[in-house]
Amino acid sequence: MKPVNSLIGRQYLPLLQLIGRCAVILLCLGILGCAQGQSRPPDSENDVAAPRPGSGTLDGASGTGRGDPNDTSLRGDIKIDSEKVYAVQPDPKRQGKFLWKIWASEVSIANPARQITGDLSDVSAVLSHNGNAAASLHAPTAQGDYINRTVIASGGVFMKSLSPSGSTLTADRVVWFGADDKIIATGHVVYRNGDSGVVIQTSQLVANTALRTISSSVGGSATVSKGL
Amino acid sequence: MVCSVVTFCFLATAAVAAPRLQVGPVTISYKRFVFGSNVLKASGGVHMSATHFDLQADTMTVMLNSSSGPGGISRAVAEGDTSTGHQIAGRFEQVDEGRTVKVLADHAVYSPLSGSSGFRQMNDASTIQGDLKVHSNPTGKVVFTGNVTLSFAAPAALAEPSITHMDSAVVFLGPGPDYPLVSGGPGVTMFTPLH
Repeated sequence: MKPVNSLIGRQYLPLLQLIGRCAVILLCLGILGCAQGQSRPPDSENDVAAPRPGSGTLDGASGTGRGDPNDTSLRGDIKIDSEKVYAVQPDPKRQGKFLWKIWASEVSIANPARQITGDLSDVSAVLSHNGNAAASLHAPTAQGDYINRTVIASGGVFMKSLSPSGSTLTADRVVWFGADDKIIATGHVVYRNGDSGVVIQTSQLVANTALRTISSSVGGSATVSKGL
Repeated sequence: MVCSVVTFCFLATAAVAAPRLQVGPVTISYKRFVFGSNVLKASGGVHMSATHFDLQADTMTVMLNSSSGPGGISRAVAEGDTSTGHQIAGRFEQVDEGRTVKVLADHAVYSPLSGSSGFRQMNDASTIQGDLKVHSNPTGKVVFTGNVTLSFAAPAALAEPSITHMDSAVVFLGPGPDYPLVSGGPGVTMFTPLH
């Protein structure tokens, strides 16, 4: 058998070596891209990918995940442990729409009498209203109630409206009532309106999911930076 | 003490030029509020304050400009509580000149002024009597109406603050030693000049 270089021609050998190296590099990048998956939670509804294989999805009645759903020892208290868990609750009134999408580093799901609740860590979420993504939420910890459509986030919460103005809210604790399009923020609450720039500080306020209207019955202050 | 009925025209001027007045950001404190569509409605006792100026009222509605445009406050309406007789209290200072203007009234409306239009208003004979020399244009005005009581303190000229009762008064805000500049309708002034 003749050597490769005599078959191909010596003048083409450097080119073939370059092509080979590029192919190896591209192959490695492809592998890394697949393995990374969706590790960064999105800031908008459009920046969402399907759940990664193996990360699991939440079924309203039972829940599935890396744990074996047929394992009777897990029935009634299901824990999904993965690098990043993605969960979505479909909107029962609007086909193809969702109530919320949540990314968490760890989630523990309890299913007492079919009332699904979950404890989440390192949470990022997209909350919707009337089928439209309204705000994003980030918090160290959160508890979600699948049936009652409530999320309780704590440990320092950051919310941002997904409307063009991009109003923001930070608080120690935020409770979102999805059915009522209402959030209640408590503890060192700072709201910044993205359109006017006014900054409102208070100990408690009530807002809609998109952070467009807010109110408070406790004392506070508003600062207009440009003044008079 | 001297008491007189005058067509009120009160001008604050400075013999020496003073540094430009910085109003700075405005802070509004409240007990209750509702905010939406760039309108802030505060109640339960409202205190609006800025550099050399503050206003206290029972309720206040503040309309804000978009920050992509001029920004700031486009209009503010303050109300006292007429049922209890609790009035709006305004205080304006010209620190460099040591002058302080205090106003009590049932209603107040703040609106910004553009430079040129404000200057024309300053020279409008219907609002201000006599010749005026102002070194800079006003940036805004506050119109006080309803049982207005104006107190003007100028230690360099008056032994104690002068008190004027009138139906309405306008306080012009702006940079420099000319402000605050007060204009008003008929009223009764009591003042005590320095001997």
